[in-house]
Amino acid sequence: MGGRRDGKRGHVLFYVKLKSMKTAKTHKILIIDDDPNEIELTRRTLSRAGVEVKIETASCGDAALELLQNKDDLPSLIFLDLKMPGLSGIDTLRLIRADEHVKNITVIILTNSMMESDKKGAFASGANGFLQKAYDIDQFGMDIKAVLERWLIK
Amino acid sequence: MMKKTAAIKSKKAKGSASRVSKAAGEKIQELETRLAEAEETLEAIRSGAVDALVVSAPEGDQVYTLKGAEYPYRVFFETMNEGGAVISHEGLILACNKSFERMIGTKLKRLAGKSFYDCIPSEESPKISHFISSICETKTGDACQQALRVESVLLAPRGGRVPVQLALSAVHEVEKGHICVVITDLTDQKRAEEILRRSQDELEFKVRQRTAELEVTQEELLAQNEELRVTRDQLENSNDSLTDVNKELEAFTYSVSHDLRAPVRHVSGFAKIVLEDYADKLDTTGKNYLARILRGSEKMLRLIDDLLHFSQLSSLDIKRDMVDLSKLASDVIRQLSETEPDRKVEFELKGGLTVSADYQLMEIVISNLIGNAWKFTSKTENARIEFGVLNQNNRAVYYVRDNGAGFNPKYKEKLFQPFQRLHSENEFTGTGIGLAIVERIIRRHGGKVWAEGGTGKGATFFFTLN
Repeated sequence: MGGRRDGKRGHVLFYVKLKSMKTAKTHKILIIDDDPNEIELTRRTLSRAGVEVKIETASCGDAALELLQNKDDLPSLIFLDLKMPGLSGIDTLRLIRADEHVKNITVIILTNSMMESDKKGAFASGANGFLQKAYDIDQFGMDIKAVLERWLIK
Repeated sequence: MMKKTAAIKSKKAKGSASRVSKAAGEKIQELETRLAEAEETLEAIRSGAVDALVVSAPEGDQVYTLKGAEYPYRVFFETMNEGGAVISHEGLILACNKSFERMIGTKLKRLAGKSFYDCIPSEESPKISHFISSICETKTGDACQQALRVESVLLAPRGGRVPVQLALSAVHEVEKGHICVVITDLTDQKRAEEILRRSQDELEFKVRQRTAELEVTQEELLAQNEELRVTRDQLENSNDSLTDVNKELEAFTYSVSHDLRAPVRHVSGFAKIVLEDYADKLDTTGKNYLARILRGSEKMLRLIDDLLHFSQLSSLDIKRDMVDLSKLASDVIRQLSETEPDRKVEFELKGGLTVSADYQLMEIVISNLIGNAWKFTSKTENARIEFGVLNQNNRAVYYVRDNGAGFNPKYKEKLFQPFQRLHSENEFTGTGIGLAIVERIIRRHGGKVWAEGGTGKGATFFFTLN
């Protein structure tokens, strides 16, 4: 596990090299979450999912939208938290879906919310998936792996 | 007389002789002669020159005397129901009939020469006197048609008073200043009128009374209506504020649960990662402490999840269905036995207890109650759990009974309060939310839940459903 930190605009970039190489090319995954602990748990879980991925993170919706301006290096998958200060997850999702260049990126909602209404709202706004953060990190690992297999290894 | 005849003749002269037949002319002549004879006869009778008339008729001559002519009138006078009297213009009674005697209660002998004014109350005298004067001033004409009618009163025997109508006529032709009085007794008429008036009054009174009653009733109804409206408004307001409070409370509980859950997950998640990834760098004590951190965070997460679950209960819709409580109970028992296969517990289950309730919520109730019984008999030898039903006042009371640790009845009110526990964590684990959830579900079904028991004597939980 290694990589470099880039403190600019509050987002962090990690380059992860995994043992198994199941995907033809290295996918980039964008994690959008205001809580660094969540980012760290998701990052570690992704690093152990058995898929080689490049991980990019953003601590808020605005930072994420700025990252998505780089049309040459767009992520294949976005993990998006719902409850964030400033732009909410749903607002961010709507802006992504409204942007011609990025609207086809797979967006998976990753949240602590147990509300059915949040789930409905997310799908109504164009989410591809809705994953409730499992309390047990082993269970969380299995959930993340299932998402990657469903959306990246087709 | 001759003058009148002459007048007719002159009329005749004016007409054309050619238009009147000779026969008609003779007829008129004959009638004029007979009229003149009649005039002369009347004058003779008036002046007292004749005592009787002899009238020729086909059946032979007939004699008419004045006496003969007067007699029928005398009979009419004496037999009619009305009182009749002839009085002088001063009011002296000259003659009267039997009906008048009866009305006054005095015999004719004693009445003759008496004043008519003695027969009426003094307050009536001026009025009657006035009428007598007016009738005397009438010159000539038909006395029968010119009668003056006036209502008055006669003094009856024993101080009685008789309401009457007086018809006064002057009879100038016979005797100047003589007056005929016909007296009609109005007692019956007045009585009838009085009865009618009273009935009318009574009716009017009743109508007024009933109207007033109706008005009062209407006012009462309006007042009740207003009261009801006010009460309804108040209820609606309370309901609205209750709904608001409930919504706020739910939002708060949800937010707290949601925001608490994340950091606890971080504590537990990173503790687990350290245990997994850095185990080789920790000694036994370090690992033990990390394990404690893990257990603590897990307990906290359970509390948060229970709280979240509990807060969502009040907003859940009750979907009623036929629910087999007996089957739910046996399912719970099977699951419990599978998790702890070494435990020996005797079960007594009443079969076929079906109720109308929300299936998922009743599953929570049964699983909590039997789960509790299972938990609190874990240290009991010959543990026994019973599920059944009683009949109390024609109402089904379901119960779950165990012979486990029981509880101190002094604190039984605390049993159903959230996060209240009557046993230490060391004795029996739990968050203290189970019975609060049961209570809320039963209450939302319109039922009641209560408990009986004693320390070390087991516990019985009863519940009803509506």
